[in-house]
Parts: sequence; structure tokens; C-alpha cells
Amino acid sequence: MDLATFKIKVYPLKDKLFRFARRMLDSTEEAEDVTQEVFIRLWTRRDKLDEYRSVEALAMVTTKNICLDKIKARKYPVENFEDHRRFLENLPMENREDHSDMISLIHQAIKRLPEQQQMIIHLRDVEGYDYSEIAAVMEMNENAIRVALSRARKRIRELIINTRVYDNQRN
Amino acid sequence: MTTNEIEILLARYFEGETTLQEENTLREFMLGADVPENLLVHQPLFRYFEQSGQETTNEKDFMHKFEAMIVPAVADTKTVQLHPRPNQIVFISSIAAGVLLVVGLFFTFMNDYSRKNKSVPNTPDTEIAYQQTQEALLFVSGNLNNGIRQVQKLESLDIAMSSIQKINMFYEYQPIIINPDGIKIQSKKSK
Repeated sequence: MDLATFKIKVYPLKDKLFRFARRMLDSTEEAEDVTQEVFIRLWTRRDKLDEYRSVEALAMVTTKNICLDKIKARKYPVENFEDHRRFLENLPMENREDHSDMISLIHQAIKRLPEQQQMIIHLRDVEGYDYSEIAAVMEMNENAIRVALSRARKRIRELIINTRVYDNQRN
Repeated sequence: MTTNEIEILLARYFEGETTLQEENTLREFMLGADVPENLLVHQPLFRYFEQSGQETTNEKDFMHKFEAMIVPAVADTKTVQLHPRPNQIVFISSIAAGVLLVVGLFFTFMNDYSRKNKSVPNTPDTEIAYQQTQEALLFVSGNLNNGIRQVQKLESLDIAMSSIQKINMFYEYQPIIINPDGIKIQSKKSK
């Protein structure tokens, strides 16, 4: 695979890889570093890329593995407020007032899920992957993914509804 | 789509039973303007996912950075040259070391073996075994000799080393050649 083919096949994946890495690491800078690293790893294997059924799945698996290594190497959990503020500022103006609280809450709720569930809910609800694609990235079977996804969604729903009830009681 | 249908879809969504198509329908509905009051609680979730999916690497020169990293790597592979000579020396000396190790072990165990053998009375069985081992060892040592012959070529290194030592001699005599009086000064000091 030469640079021209690489550009056509791999370059369009960059934002997807970035979002996936950012979901796991919760840091824009680290996510960009990881995306670069994935690109370099894919480039060094460029001669073998054609043998893979899906370059995208390979790229996502590589991203996942690098991120998991990074998380393991961390001594302290990272709370990245800067990143989150940027996210809120990007919200459309009319929604910011009504939703910024709820959206931070959802972000926090997802962050509190087990890593595996975070990845699965991201792949499904943000990237719109089908179950077989998620199975390839997660290296799990489709049924286990369905179960984890349902658990993650319910956990988030629970958190939102509880907060609503609490807010209503307080007001 | 009726509220009831959406509610059913939403319930199935939380059970992980919806298809991608159904989830798209659900998302479109929840992001729209006609969300009924009782379902508004779920709206932020879909908004959050929608928003998350629109994020991009905010580093504009991401690709330049990547290409800068891979281009030198491509150029490097063309200019790298192998230096066979140092490698050959390492190769030969590692063979020599390996052979010496085998020879050393061979003689150590030979001694042990022959010592043990003397203490055992020579029954026909052990004698046959002894002869067979001896034949085997002879075969091994014959092959070892072949190996050693190769190693002997290393002697040419010694010849080279001796000529290098001549350079050392040159340095020893250099002060005398350049400044013969130096010896006198030294000898005065030593007195």
C-alpha cells in the first residue's frame, strides 16, 4: 500500500479513531497522540493491510489496545475539566442553557461505566456500528456485546432519572 | 410515529434489542421538535451522542505531522548500509567461544565418566556400553577437530595483533627518538 492508497483508505478514519481514543482517555491531547501512533503503526504494516478484511476494524482495535495500555500506566485517574468545558462550549447556543447540566451529567455517567461498556456504547450510539463490527473491535461475541450495551444504557438512564427526581424534590 | 410506538422503541432501545435503523428513527425523533413532555427526559442523551459524533481532531496539521514522521523513515531505509567486517569477527569469535564451551564440557564430563567407570567392575554389559560410548565420543571428537581446524584460522588475528604491538613499541621509544635528552632529565630526577 503506497502513500496515495493509504491516504484514501486510512486518512478518513482519523476522526473516528480520535473520538474513540478521547472517549477512553478523556483528554484531547492524549487522544491526538494515540491517533498519530495508530497511523504510524498502520503505516509500518502497510504491506499487509490488504490482507485484513477491514482496515477500520484493525485501526480501532489498535486504538483500543494503545488506550488500554495508557490507562493501565496511569497512576491516578485523570479528571479533565478543560476538555469538558470545551465540549460544552461547542454545544449549539439554544441548547446550552437547558442541557449543559444534563449533558455533563451524561458525560460523567458514561465515564463511570466499566471501560468495556464505555467503548461499546460509544461504538454503537456515537459511531453507529452494527453488532458484528463492534464484536470485531472488542474481540467479543455479539451476545455479550448486546448485554453490555443494554447494561450501559440502563445505567445511564437510571442516573438521569434519579437526578431529575432529586432536582424536583429540591425545587 | 405515535408516542406509543416511540415508547416501545425506547424500551427496546434500553434492552439492547433495537436495530441500527430503529435507533436512527429514534434519534431523529428525539432530536426533533415534537418530543412529548413525558419523553423529554431522554432528549439530552441523544443530543449528547449526536454532539459526540461531530467531534474532530482539532489539530489542523495532523496529516503534516504524520507525513513528516513517515517520510524520513522512508528515506532512511535507502541510505542504511551494512558493515560486514565487524559482524564477521563477532560471528567467528562466537563460534570459537561455542566450540571452546563444548570442548570444556566434553573433557569435564569425560573425566567424571572415566573416574566412575573405574570403580565399577567390568561386566560384559558395562564393557559393551563403554565401547559404544567411546565410539560415540570418538565420532564427536572427530567432528570437533573439524570445528577446531576452522577456529585455528583465528591465529591470523594473533599475527595482526603482534604488528599492532609494534605500534605500542613505537610509542615507548617515541620520547627517546624525539628528545634523547629526556632520558637524562628523568635519570636525574630518579637519583
